Amino acid sequence: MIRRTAAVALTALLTLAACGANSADDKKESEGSAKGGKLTILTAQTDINFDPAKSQNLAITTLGLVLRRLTTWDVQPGKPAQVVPDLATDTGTSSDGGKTWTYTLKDGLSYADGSPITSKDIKYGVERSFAPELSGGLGYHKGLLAGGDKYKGPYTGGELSSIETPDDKTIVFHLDAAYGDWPWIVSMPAFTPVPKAKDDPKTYTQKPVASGPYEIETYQQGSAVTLKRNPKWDAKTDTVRTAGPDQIVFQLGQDTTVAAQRLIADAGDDRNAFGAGFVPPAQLVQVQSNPSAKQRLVTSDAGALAYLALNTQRGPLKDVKVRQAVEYAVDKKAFQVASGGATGGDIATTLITPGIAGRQDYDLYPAGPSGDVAKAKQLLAEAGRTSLDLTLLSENDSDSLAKAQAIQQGLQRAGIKVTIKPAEESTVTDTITGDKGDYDLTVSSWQPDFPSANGNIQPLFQSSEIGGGGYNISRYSQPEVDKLIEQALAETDATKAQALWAQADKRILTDAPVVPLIYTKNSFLHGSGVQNFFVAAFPAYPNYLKVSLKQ
Amino acid sequence: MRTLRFAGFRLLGMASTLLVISFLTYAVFYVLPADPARLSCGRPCTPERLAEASAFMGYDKPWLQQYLDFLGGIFTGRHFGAGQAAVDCAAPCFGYSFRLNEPVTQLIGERAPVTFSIAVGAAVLWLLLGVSSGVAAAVKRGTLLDRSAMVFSTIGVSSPAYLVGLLGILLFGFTLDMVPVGGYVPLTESPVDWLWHLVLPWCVLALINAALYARLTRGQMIEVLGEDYIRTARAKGLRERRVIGRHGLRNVLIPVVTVFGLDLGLLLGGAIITERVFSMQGLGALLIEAVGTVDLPVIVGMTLFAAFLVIVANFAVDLVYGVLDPRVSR
Amino acid sequence: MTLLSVEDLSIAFEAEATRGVAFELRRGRVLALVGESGSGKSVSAMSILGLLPGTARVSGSITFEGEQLVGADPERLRELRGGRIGTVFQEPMTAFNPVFTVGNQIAEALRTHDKPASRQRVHDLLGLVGLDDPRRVARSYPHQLSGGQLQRAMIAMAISCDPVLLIADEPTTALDVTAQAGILALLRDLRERLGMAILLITHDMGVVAGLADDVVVLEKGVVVERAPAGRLFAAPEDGYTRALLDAVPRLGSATREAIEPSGDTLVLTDVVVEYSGRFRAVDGVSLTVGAGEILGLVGESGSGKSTIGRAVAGLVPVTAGTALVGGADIGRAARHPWRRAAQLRRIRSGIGIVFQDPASSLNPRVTVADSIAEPLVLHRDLDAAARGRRVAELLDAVRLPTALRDRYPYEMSGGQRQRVAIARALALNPPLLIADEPTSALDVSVQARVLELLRSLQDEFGFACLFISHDLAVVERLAHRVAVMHRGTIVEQGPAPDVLRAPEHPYTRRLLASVLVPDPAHRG
Repeated sequence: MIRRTAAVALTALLTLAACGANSADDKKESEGSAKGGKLTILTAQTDINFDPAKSQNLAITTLGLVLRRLTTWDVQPGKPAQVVPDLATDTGTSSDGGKTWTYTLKDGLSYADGSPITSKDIKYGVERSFAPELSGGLGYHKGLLAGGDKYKGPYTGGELSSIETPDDKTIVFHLDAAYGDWPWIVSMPAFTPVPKAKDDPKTYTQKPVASGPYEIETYQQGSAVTLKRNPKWDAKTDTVRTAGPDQIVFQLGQDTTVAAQRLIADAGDDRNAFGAGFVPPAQLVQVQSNPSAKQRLVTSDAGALAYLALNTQRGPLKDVKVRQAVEYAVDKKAFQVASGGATGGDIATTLITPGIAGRQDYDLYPAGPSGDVAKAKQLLAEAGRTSLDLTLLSENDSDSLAKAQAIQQGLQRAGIKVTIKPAEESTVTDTITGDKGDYDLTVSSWQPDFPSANGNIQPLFQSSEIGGGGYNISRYSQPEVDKLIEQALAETDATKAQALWAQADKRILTDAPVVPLIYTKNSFLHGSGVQNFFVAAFPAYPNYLKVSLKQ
Repeated sequence: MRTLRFAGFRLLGMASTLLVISFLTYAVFYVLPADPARLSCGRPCTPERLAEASAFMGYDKPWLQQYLDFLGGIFTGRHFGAGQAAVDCAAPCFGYSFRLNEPVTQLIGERAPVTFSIAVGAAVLWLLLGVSSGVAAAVKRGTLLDRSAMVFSTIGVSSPAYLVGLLGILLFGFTLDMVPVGGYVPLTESPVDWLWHLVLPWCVLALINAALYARLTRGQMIEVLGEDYIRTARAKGLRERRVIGRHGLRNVLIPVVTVFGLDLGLLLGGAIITERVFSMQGLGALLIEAVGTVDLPVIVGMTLFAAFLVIVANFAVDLVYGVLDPRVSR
Repeated sequence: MTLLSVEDLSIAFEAEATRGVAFELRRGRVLALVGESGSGKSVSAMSILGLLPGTARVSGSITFEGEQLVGADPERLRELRGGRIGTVFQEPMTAFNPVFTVGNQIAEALRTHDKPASRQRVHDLLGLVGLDDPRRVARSYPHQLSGGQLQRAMIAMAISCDPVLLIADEPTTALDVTAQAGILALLRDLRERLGMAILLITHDMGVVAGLADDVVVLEKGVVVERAPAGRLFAAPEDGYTRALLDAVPRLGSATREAIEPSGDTLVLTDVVVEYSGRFRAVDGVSLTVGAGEILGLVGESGSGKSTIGRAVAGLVPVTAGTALVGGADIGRAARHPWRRAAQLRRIRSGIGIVFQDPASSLNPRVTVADSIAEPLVLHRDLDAAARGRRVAELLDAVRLPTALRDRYPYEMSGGQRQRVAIARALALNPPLLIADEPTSALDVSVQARVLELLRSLQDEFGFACLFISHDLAVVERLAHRVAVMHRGTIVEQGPAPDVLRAPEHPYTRRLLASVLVPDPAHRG
């Protein structure tokens, strides 16, 4: 799961969000998917890591073009994201109460070199993700697979016995505990097949063995990566990838401002390009006065949750009444303005974000977008507090500080004095995820790594996630909630699980450990030759797998 | 013999300067609370996984030990991890970037041509532009030419490179469509494209820096023109062009070269803003990324390399100084 | 036959520099334009060459070989410069471009006027001006040569294109006495051999006497007297000319008798000073300065005399030997300027120093009163009122009106500045005063008054004084005893009358013989 920071450009490709305010134009075109052409993707990233063990890529972006996994995501405009089979024939069969998951591979699957894809390759791919030498990727499975906590990868640790491959088509996973979201877990990069014979850990990041519709043609460190068609990829086995362009070029290290300008100008090759990064605020304004560019701007629906975390283990904030007073005192409207107004996001009241299946909308603290100062003061009085003095840890870039000030001014109205403590991004991260918990308030933003309500709740509110690198930054510990979470995690029936998560959502906010501020929106630009470019409910990111070019 | 001893001392001085700088860089980054291992920890980052990553990269040892390992690696090379996935960094190993999966020396080697292309071309341009306009302003002191040159240079000195670069891209890249808007093409791949992509960054950097050199040159030239030997040169009947161009310029160049050498040395270590605006992946971009991602080995390596360049530039300046000014050569 | 004729020449910048200047120079003659700084003599000469700054307004007439130069075509003037008219300037060290060799610069002059510029020709020219090793001189850079050598090379360059007129602007002022004598002899010789006319610009009556046929005296931009040299020296008509002649210090006019000092204020024993551990500037010097005594330390540039002054002031460390000031070893203290900071400070507070150039030794941004009060602030615990009283006393002592106390250095004349420097040096009533060429940068009339001041101050306060100078006549006026330095050692020392009238060492004799006498009858 992802804690989003101001350095969006760098983490851009890793980030997700919600349902697209895609232009009418796009919806019309999305009927057909033309083949051919050279698509250019402008990104601020300076390298692309294709090693599935080290990648934190979304299923629908770069890695998804080259590598297939057991399952993947079907992301469509206006619909919640679905987990669908990719290499496997279904999203998984559970047994043993959700502790064992079995998958069968489709027929006729092969790599770019023509050799067949086997379940052993998937097992090997998962195993190598355990090697400390290849750390850095999404590792949810490492804590779930039986024996995963001790396993050190195939290079020094032999095989992982909790993954079985009775034949070349079948793979069985044994978990420590029941886990209902396992079908989402196997959509992650680590569940990509890696043929053991072709595994050179030192170069795999640039030379992965392709199973998707594209393979890497050239990899120029720091400047460009070019993908060409993988002739062995069979569209019949793949329901999500349309593989429109003949060639895809990633131009690396592009300044986001310059990239946005290029896309606004829409000249030459840039007509067949889109930007992987968010459009910077200045260019958002510029686009408004440019009818052509305005048509090519795609803003997502409200997605990632921006929230104010209250450290529930610190001084007056231990008192639930005080925390509830903060819920009323906060000026969400001012925060929204500081985040870029209506294009920056919508006012939030829940923990589960829009576009996640099973979300229920509610507002426990009905105060309106600007807060209810009188109610806040009343709650403070009930708590026996006439004044309150709190510190707010904030990143020191101007955007973050502006947001922190919006919070500061809102709380000031209710007599809560807030002192802003600015710090470097990495310092902030280390402080809030560290063991000491030396802060009262902090503003954060959260998007799950996979589109399940699980991702909205568990990492932020389970008591096991306090400190030690965990993201329970309000340091919220409630046995009742922990129990609900465990129950929901183990539930293999999706509908039942969703109901449990929605219940947890409300239960948590009763204790007011965080103030939901806004569901943020992301905006992207594309050239006039680009079709089928949409930003769905979740993730609020262009779906690379569907983009095609006008022919 | 004396020259040899001098060179020896000089080299020793360079080496110890670099040693001190590397030590300070290490010390500074360990005082900061950010954990370099977190970068390679992945998500979710459990304490066990963090410890594992730390141990693999050697960040679990006391920092002084890490520093000594770093120094040792320069002579003996380094080895991280075990088995097939182990990472080798052959001597001279100035660190290994786990983020980019390459030894730092190799990274610098890959990125240096970009920065060097930008820096050298721009430097030649700004030197020509700055010195010639400074000389013209000094000779025509007080005239409209002088005043407009100085107004222009005030604007240049106070213009942020990012802004000038962006305006340049908008005007020449988008509106006039004369040059590419960014990117770098290696000289070996296509000399024409190389030149074509570099023209705009050169001009932008040159414009900004030339302003400073114009001011410096003008001031120096005005001072030099007041010297006795200029009067002598005129008294022996030299034409004004020769008085300025030979007797004046040669003496003006002495301080200009000093500043130029250090500027160039600094720029070779990374043209951070220019590289960013023009989407060129040079040393400056490498360093900025490394700082943003707490990629400690790259930070240390780049700091050392930049320091090395400045020291070499200093040395070169001294050499050129000796050629330009016979009074300092022995 | 008239070569150069100047009539009614008036030059003005923001203020008027000359008014109605007129003189004539005939072929083969030497005309001296004499005057003190600001008299307009150099400006007049530069106007002939057309080298005045663009802001100058020139009126009147300058005819050279029948050609009007005022308002002439700049290109024509350029051709004349270095061609028909050669020029020699005052400071040979700065008049050559430091970054080119001497030979290169001479060859350039030849080429400019389309003369063959062979290496041989350059060597011949350098030989012609009496340089021993023309090849070495030609390939040397200016900093590698002495002032005398450079001035000869400058003359070689000036005559390279066979000029009919040589303008020599203070050609010997920056040189040591022995070199000065040589240059004058060379100029006389060249005039004889090449038949050039020379326009000599100088403030030094000794130089005039040594070279000029005719003299024009300028005062504040106006000609006050015009006469053949012989008549001018014998019977000056104008009051200013007479004052100028009287102010020139002459050897043998007023030696002081040695006194019996009550004790030794400064004792140097076998002092050695090395720079950068290699160059030995001072090599085993022993001398004493008694209380109330003035020791004149005489020598040419590079003799090490100034280094001794700096060592005694604690500004350079003494390499070997002892330098006792009031019994404390300042040489040793200066070797450890940090460890012995307090000691060094204490010793220094007992030493006053006056340097050659008051323009650079006074902080230009500080008023006179503050400059004088500075040592009081550093070394004495006085309140502002007490400091003010002391400053007034000192200004009075150096005969400056107290009204000057709020002036800045640039608002004062050279003589006034030097008086301020002396007042500052005496602020702490030091037992020892070091005066390093205190009058060399001043005009003769001013110099005479400053010397008189120093002498009376010394009588009044009774401090010991190390008086460093290259000018024997100046030393003679002040010193009780004289020490002669040559190449880092003292070749002779003793009571002033003995050393200056009956020198024993050949170097002292040579030095004395080179002194110019402001009397044309004494040409050497």
